[in-house]
Amino acid sequence: MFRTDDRLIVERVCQGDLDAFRFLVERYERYAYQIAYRLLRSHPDAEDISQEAFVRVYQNIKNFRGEAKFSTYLYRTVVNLSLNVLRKKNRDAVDSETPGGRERAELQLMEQPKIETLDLGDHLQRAIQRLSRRQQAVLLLRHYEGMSTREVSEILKCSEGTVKQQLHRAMLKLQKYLHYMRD
Amino acid sequence: MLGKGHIANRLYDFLVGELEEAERASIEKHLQSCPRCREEKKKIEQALDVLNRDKVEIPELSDEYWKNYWRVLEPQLQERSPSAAREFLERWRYRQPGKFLSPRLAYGFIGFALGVVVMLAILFPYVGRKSETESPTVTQSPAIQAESLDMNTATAELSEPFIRFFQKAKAFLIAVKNLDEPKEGIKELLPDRERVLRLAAECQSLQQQTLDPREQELLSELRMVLDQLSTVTAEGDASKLDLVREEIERNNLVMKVRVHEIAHEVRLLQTASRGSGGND
Repeated sequence: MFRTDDRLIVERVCQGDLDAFRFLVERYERYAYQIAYRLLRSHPDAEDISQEAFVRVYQNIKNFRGEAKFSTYLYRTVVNLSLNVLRKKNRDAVDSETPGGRERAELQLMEQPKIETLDLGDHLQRAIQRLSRRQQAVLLLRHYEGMSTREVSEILKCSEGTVKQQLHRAMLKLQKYLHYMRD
Repeated sequence: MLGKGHIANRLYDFLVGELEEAERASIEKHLQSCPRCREEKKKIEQALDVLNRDKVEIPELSDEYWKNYWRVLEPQLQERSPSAAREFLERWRYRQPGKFLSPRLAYGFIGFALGVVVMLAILFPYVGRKSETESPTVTQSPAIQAESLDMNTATAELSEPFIRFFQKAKAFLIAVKNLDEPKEGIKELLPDRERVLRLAAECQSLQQQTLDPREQELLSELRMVLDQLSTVTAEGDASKLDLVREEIERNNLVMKVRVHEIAHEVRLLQTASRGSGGND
């Protein structure tokens, strides 16, 4: 039902109808914001990324062939942009005090308070940032967004087996990191 | 990581209760007979426990905010409408019989062309420098020739310790990466502590010699890894070793070291060929 509607709207957008795009934005703006927020955990970042995602989707709307759902196409864009921001933040944090910036960042990691004394969310976010981009995306979509393995595989353009494998690896890495912080 | 025959990749679905009854029963049966999978299950349970306790509270944004959302977005859409280049590629694609050139292929060509331009831009200064050094040799005075030879020797002297260090570091990183399970691997690493300290000292001294910021960065990454490895002193430090191994993997350190090693080797060869050219 939604899929058919979306495809018709997309066709109108392709013909240059900006108002038609407004329908799509109003339909998905909250979802786009939620996904970005879950990954970035910051309102300004989530706001910027969700809007940037709509702009990118609009710019590339003619490449959307309707093989996947419009929502899948949008989520993929939001996830990729959010992961870029996370990666950049990680890099900036490490590079900020170069030379030796990475060394200090790593020392900080080793010396930070134990898990009981820090906010669990902070620890978890640090742990999640240590995962690969694909593992982060799989964990977010599968665990936090509650999407099925199949939906995640469509968004990330990979097989269901890969999704399961990446999720398993992500969970093991999280456990290892959190276990290390607790010791 | 467990291999074929194990149920590792299905443990998450199993633990969150998303499997069919038959599959669930087969996993339970496997778990009864497989201690390794039981161990993995325990780990996934621990991670899930933390994830489930972490509640991300998404801010409740007012209706007013969502009404303004489009107002903020619209000017950005108008300003950044589909690019002329993309439009051109789209039109071109659909005019070709049999979709001769897809946009992806077109981007591939553009990327290749840019790559060639960048390579030329990188090689050009070397070509220019070579012709600068070759042509004046006919008229160069013996004093200038001697000075140029001294400079070549200096460059060679500078590159050699880097090559030696990168070769040793590369071999060591590969050995650390290929250690067996951390608990077993740590036994292999402990006798090598002296080697780690020597490499770290060598790394520190090279850090002061290099002027290349990327090499500086690589050397500080290597030093961090070596410093961390030097703190692995007992068999109980397996998790530290594991983090270092992840760090090596995540930062592609072996590949980076190899690239810098090759760069120095090339520099050395260039110096040698210039030197022999000067002698002729």
